[in-house]
Amino acid sequence: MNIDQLADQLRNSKDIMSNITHWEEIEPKEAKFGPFPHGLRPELKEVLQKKGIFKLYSHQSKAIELSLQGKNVVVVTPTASGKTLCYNLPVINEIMKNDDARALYLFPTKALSQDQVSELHEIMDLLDYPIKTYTYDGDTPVSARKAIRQAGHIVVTNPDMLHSGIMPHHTKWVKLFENLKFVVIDEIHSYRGVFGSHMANVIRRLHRICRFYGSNPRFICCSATIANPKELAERIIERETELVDESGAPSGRKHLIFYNPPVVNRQLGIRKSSVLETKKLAARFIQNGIQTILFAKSRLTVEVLVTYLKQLVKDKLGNSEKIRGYRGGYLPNQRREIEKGLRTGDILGVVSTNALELGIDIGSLQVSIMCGYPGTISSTWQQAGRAGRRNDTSLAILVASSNPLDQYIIKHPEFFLKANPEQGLINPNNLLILMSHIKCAAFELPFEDGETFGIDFLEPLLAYLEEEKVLRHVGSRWHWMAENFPASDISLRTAANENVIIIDITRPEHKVIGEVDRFSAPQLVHEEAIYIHEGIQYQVEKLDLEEKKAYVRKVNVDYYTDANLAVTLKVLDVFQSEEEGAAGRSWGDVMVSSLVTMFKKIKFDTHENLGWGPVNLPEFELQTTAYWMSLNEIPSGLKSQDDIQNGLMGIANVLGQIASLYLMCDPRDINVVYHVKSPFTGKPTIYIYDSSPGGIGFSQRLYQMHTELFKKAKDALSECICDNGCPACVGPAAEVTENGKYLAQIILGGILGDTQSEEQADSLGLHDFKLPFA
Amino acid sequence: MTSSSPSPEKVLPDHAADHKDSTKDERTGEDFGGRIIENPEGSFVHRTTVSTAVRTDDPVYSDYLKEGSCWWTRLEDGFSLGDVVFLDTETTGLFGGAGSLAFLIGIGCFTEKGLIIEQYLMRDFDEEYPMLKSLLDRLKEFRVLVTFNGKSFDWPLLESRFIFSRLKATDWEDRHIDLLHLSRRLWSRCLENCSLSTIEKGILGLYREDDIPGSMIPKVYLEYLNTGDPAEMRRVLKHNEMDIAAMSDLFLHISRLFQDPESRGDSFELLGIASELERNHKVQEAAKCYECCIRKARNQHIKAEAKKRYAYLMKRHFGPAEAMDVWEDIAAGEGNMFVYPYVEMAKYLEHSMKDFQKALDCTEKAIELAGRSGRQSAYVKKELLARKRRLLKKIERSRNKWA
Repeated sequence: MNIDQLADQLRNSKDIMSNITHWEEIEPKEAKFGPFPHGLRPELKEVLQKKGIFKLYSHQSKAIELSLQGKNVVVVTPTASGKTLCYNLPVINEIMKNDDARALYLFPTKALSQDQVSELHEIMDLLDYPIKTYTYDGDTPVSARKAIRQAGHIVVTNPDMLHSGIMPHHTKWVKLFENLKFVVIDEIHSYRGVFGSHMANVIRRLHRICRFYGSNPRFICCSATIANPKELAERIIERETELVDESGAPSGRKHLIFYNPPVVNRQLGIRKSSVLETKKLAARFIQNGIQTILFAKSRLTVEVLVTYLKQLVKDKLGNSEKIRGYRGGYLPNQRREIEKGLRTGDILGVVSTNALELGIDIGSLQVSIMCGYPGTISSTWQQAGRAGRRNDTSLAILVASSNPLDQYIIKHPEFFLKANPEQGLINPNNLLILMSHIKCAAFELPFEDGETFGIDFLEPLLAYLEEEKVLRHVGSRWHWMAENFPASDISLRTAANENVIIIDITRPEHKVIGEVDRFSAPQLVHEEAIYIHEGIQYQVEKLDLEEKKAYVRKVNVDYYTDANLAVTLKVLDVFQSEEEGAAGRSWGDVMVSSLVTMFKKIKFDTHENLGWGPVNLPEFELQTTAYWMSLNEIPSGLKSQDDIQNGLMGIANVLGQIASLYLMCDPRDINVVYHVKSPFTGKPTIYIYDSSPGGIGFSQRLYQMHTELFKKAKDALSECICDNGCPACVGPAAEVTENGKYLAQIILGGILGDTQSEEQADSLGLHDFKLPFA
Repeated sequence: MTSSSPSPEKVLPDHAADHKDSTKDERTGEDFGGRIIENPEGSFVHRTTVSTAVRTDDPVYSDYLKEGSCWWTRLEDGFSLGDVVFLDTETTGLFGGAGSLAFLIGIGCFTEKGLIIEQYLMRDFDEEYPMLKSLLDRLKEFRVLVTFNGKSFDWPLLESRFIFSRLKATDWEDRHIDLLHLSRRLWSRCLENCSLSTIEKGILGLYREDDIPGSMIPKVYLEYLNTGDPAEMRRVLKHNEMDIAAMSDLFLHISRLFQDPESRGDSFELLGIASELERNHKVQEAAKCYECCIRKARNQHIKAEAKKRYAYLMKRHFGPAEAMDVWEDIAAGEGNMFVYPYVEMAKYLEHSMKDFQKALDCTEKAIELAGRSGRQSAYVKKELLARKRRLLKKIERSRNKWA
């Protein structure tokens, strides 16, 4: 059956349609073209024709035109709309005019840079003009580096390498910096939150170095659909930017299907597992030879799904290579091989984390199934966009999990379809981040008196660093005067450089099979954990956190493991506080310590709990900002400490999800903890803290929202189908006890008191998001 | 060479006292036994010492100094010892990168009076530019730069600093000799490592007293910037001086070795000299050194390696026939476990002599050895088995031709 027939089959199946809450059909769109910009050399037109491109889409034409005029450009491009031409053409054009010209391409991941280089090489071959393009990253052999520094016209790298490998050694890159004409920042929407705040500072440093060498490059940025591409680009590059956001690319018919797994127990509000439902849906397509991509939110789910689907396609010889997993922990060459398999069609199904959400070239897939709401509207569109890159019909299915955010989205598809995508928020002036980069910048070039570094309070910061004996003010300059190399201590991503590698010791010759980041390691590769890699189960025998190695051995068991995380929180400093009313609110600095205490063994298929084991690993500490609410009066309906405990637990569960919706952030960016009697406030308290060190501004926003947040939470509870609590609201009744939902509602009633929050919502500009719960 | 402790013979008079910089009265040249140089760009400290560490009564020394003799392997045009400048820097960081500075640069040169060491020191960051500018002018007087690990550390760091000061660095082209690379070739087989201090002790027989450890030096300078106390800095200057003295002594030592390797070098050194000569296309001299090494060597590993290199040198430059004797010699050695001589012989016998049967015998011997050692890679075995199959076919074919 082909894709259209399968879509019809879905529509005609009563069983399935009863679970589908919404079926959106998006009409195909015709291509819109624009003129070939005058400033481009005719040879380039010929090359495009050789590639089978006879006209430029309107957005390509406009972006190139603007860039040729010397403007900074940000292009918002849906998947497969030919964004690479928007920057490759102006860059190649410039190099052909002036052989000394240089360009710097920045991609958020190594995988993407590899991809770009091969695409550029394709154009060069057709062009028959020797433009040298090189990838410069951690994998670049030392022997090749010198040639790249001297001769590379286009240097393709990532922000991390620019930060720690290129800029601190800028004197070796004189040719590049003296002649830098273009800086390309692709996937600029991925520079949000902490990563984006670092990125903006990396670019500040780049500006300084360019100024030293007398260059002033133009920027070309590309972004997926977000609410504020121009604003984000301008905050990152700190230059005025022209926005090109009308895509001229054609698109095929697209079906966007919202699927809610059926309820199996109404009292407990339990639905069928989203993982098993995803597997069932995927099987329909894969068995019909339709290339399908599955997105799962955790590495664990990826591996569980790979295991299931491999079973499905296994041939007589046990060959199941048609299904592959793809996620962060895989090694680079393994990834390349999978990407290639997808393009050639050798791989029929791939299960991925959001790693494949970005523009890695994997050709055109027909179906995209998301196991769980990806967390943000723009991610969802990106993942759905992975299916149907060309002009044919495609299908995207969102399978809701039982968490509150998923359930909200699946029951209110109109919220999803009508709401603006998220904003890319960054805070380059987060003091922790800013200070790190001021150090790096001073190491690279002494600060001159009167320099700004994008802020108007640089001088006191420099003076502070002088007191700390990191800088020395002599004459009109601030010189670096410490022994160390600051960039090596600063990671642009949370602990990205501290990976734990996973070593298979099944055979005498040990083999590295993957890696996990330092923070996830206690949860994923604690001793006795089942680590699933490419569908094969391994048991962790030893986790050596000091050496950052986990030793695993192949096993064959019918369960997987899931670790519990215990979190304690301590208030360090209060920035703002208001104690009046039923509930007080505050925000400030906190120290959060997390500890993995135990793990559960969960049986495949039935997902029943088979037992547990202890985990003995050290605590991990995080200093960040938090918002907290404390109850000034205990509502009369609460009879005991246990009641408060269960009520707060329920609220914490629903709050984490609701808050992320209104903050327009990924749910993983914030965390919720509660204290029945907080050591700090002495009252029942709920804290919501930023997941990133130092915080990136969510706490202050939550402080402003305050009661509005609890009102939405209360609405969500009254709207839920369950009686006594379910995973979609306060959590399963078994965990919060029989009356958990009731208790949570009492507390929420208490917090809200008599105040009505409508006006407040308007004043905070939240009215766009009111569709909800009531 | 007898051991002697390098120490300054005398310190040149300090003229700085007369015209102290009034704005920097706390930073004087006398603190370091040097003088303050003022130029339009600013000021810095310049200190000159004559070192007795190098024995200048050696006749070789005066010969080197006078004649424009061409005794350095890589340099084809003759130059004299007076053209050579030795350079060593002390820096604010040991990891490199744009934020590391050379706060002290020592240079040394040979004169009739002996080894003259000049040190350029900046007392603060604003003295870097005048110091570098002055240094650069002085360096222009020399034709050859000699350093120890300077190719990857000192010189690139200085180049980086010149860029900061927008000065054009001297381009030494191939006239930069890094003694670390040579030392590794000569002594890595007999010393535990090839650091300058190990070579000083093990090869030159020099000893340092009260030397400050190199890893401490950045800290000492940064501390000096903060406190202005020069006491520890004097030890840094001394350390730098001793480094240059040791380096120049090492240079002379190696020069002597190269001048007459067969009588002066032991087997380790001969092997290193030969490979250095080979790298520089001095094939005849290299061959002689290998032969001499094979004669002298008592260490079996050295002997085996020399034979191997010698055979490959002969093969490459004089054809495989010339190498046959050596292959056979290695193969016939008592308890020989090497596969390669058989492989090489088989190649020669198969392709040049067309003696397929003998080539097959050699191949089989190689296969047997490769199997026995068990450490040979699968690649070797695969290669060898392919050769065997091919030879069997060739033997078959030639039999058929005759039949």
